[in-house]
Order: sequence, then C-alpha cells, then structure tokens
Amino acid sequence: MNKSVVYLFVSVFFLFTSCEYQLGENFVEMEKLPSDSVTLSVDFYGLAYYQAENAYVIEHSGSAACEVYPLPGFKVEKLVVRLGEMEWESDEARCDFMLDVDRIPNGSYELSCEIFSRTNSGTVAGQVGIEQYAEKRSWPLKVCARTGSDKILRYQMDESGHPEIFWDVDESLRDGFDHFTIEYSYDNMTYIRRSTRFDQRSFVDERYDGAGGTYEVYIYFKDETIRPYSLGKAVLEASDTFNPENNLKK
Amino acid sequence: MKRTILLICLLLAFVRTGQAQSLTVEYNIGHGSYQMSDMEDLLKGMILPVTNAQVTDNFPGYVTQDTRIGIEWRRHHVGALFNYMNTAGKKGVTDYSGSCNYELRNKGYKLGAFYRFRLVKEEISIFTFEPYVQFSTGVVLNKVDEASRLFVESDPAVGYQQEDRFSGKNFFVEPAFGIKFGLCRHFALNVSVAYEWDAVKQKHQSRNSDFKVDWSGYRAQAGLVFYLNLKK
Repeated sequence: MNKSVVYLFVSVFFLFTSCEYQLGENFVEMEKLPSDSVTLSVDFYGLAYYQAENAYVIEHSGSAACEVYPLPGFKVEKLVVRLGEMEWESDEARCDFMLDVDRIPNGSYELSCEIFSRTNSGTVAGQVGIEQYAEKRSWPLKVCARTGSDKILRYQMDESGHPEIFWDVDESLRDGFDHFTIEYSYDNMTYIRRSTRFDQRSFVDERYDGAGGTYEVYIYFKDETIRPYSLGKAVLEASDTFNPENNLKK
Repeated sequence: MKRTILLICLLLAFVRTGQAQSLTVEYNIGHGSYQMSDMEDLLKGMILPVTNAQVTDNFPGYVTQDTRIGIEWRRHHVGALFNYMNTAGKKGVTDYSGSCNYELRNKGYKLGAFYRFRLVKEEISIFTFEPYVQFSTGVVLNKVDEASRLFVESDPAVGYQQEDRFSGKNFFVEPAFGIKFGLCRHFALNVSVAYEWDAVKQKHQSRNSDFKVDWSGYRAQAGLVFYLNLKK
C-alpha cells in the first residue's frame, strides 16, 4: 500500500472519532427570584409590643406564637424562633412556643426568627430541595417579670379621708435599690407612681374619693436581672375609713 | 482485530492467485436511521428527581461512516467492511440553578464482509456507469454509555454522577443497491441505499430495565472508491 492509502486510513479514523452525535439541551429560561426579603410580615401573638420601650415586653409566663406571611410563590419550610439561648423550631409558617418567665432572667434580649422558604419556582435546585431563601429578622425584647406577694400592707386613713399605705424594706437592699412603684387602681383606671427614694416607706393617695381601690408596691433594682418583687398589697373597700385587718393600730 | 487482519491476508492471498483485477479501498459517508424502541422506552420511563425533565434526543438517525477494502474482478466485488454508527438519547432539564440529565449514548462498530455484483457497465465518454447490488453481513459491536447526572450550582456536593457502560454484539444483514461512477482508472464515485436488519440482538441489563440495541434502518451513503490495479 502506498502512502496515500495510509493517509486515507488516518483521515477516516479522525473522521470516525470526531463525528459523534451532539446532544441537545432542555434549557428552561427562568427568572432568578430576588434574594432579598421573601417575607411579607412576621407577627407575634402573646407578646406585647411597647412603643415607649420600642421593644417587646414580657411580664408574665404564657404561650406565644410567631407567624410568618411569605410573599406569594414562596412556602415556608422551616421557622426557627430564638430568644436568648432558647430556640423553637417549626416546619410550618407558624411556630408556637411557651415563655416561662421563671426560666428567663429579667433583662434585654434579642428575639429573632429565621425563615427558610422554598421558592416553588420549579428550578432544578428548588425541586431537589436545595434552593432555599433564608432570612433572619430580629427585635429587641425585654423580660420584666415581677414576683407577686400575698403580704398585706398596712394603711390608715388620714384626717382628709386619704389612705396612707405603709411598707417595709430590708436595709440590706439599699445599695442595689433603684426605685419603688406604687400601683393603685380604682374606677377601672390604674395609676403608677414611681419613687427613687429608698427611705420612703409610705404613700398618701390624695386622689382617693372613697370608692375603694387596690394598692401594691414593688421594689426595683439597678441590676435588671434581679427580678422586682411586690412588697405587699392593700385592698380598700368602698367608703373604707377603717379596716381592722389592714389598718395600722396606733 | 485478529479477524480483520486474517480477512485482509486472505484477500491478499486471493490476489496472488491471479484472479483479481484490482484492490479497492472505499470510504462512504451517509445517514442512517435506527429502531431503538427499547431504548426509547427506557428513556421515556426514566424517573428523574425533577418534574419538568423532557426528552430532547430520542435516538435520531445520524451520520454513518463506512470503509471497505475489497477485491474486484470481472462483475464481482468482495471484501471486508468497517462501519461506524452512533446516536444518543437524552432526557433532562437545565436552568440557572443546575441541571438534571439522563443520557444514553450508543455506538455501533460494524465488522463484516460484503459481496457486490455489477449489473451493467456503461461507458459514457471517459466515465463509466456501474449499477450494482450488494449484500453485507457481519457483527455490530455495541457500546452503550449510560449516565445520570445531577448538578446544583449553589451546592455541588449534593449532585451526583452515575455512569455505566454496556457492550454487546448484534448480527446484521444488509442488502443494498448502488451506482458507481468511474471517474478515471483509479477513482470512482459511489452512491448507495441499503437497509440494515439486525437479525440477532443481544440483550443488555441496566439498573432500570433490560434493553436491546437495534441498529436496523435505512442507509444512504456516498463516497469514493480508490482502485489499485493488480492485474492488467
């Protein structure tokens, strides 16, 4: 065989190897969804938001819930609510949780919710559960729980018919003392007086009109983690001028 | 390979007997259609982890390449052939986030012998016009590459790639009709149409189902024949 035949064979060999069927592609053009917020709103139930504090405030134990409303087209796959070191998880758009103030020291915390949502866009990554949007939102939260008391406070009516409430405080609390609150309510109204004087041991309610009322005194401390507690309660009946149980015996 | 060499040796021995007129080397390129019904079913029934996967390639007809070496004497022409066919099937989907595909790629290497009988030889000016009938037979060596792939761009670790390869043999027969146009003493143009029938097909077993590769179908080819005169 001459050279031309050899060249022919080599050419044919290259033709053979280079002539492979080229596969097509089912490329689906999809708009990439925005990666910023996918959440329309997040609502908390069982928690009160205090505009003055600009934070959620917890005063009592109770159940609460976080509900997420995602943008149309998104589905919440996982919801994680965190408060301090506590964490609650749900695979729905709503996460119920229990707040026990006895297990949470008073103080300021960050309440956060982390939202993982599926796009439902039909992409390959979305269908195999990889494409998720994760978003975290957080709010300040204060735990301001107080400890109640069954103690009865002494009181007496002065010459003008105004009640004077008395309380006792251990002297050892002076250094950590921050303030007292005297909370009294009548006529469906609650009034709160604040006093920063540690030496104050009584309070005269000059607005009292004889219709009865409830008085309670709390002590607060500089260290917010120390839970305020009630020093006692005084209950005045309507037109109460003398209560032998409560009244200070002179 | 051994068989091919043996066949060439036999042809050369035959040349030495003094019966042959010329040694021919032929290259044809053309188009072939295939009957891959088993594989089409396999592709169609393949369940992928995505719902919007579609069949993009369903074993369509494709280019065939054919080389033949033979001895031609009087109205007879015998020799050996080597032919290459390939096609593929694919089901899947691709988007910006990744791709999920299932592919089957078939390659068929035909090895065999042919006999060609010239019907007439008309001379027109310096050219010749030679219609012929041909019968080829032999084996098709099948190679099937199966591949399943999932690729997620944002998290390549969750993807996978599974590949498998199957080999087998088919037995084929192929009647054909063609015309050679002699251009000069050493070259001729060749065109032919044929039908390949894979009479015996080997079964392959994949993880998903059993299937046979069937290269049966029409062939249309055109090419060049090179003559090396051995006896004047």
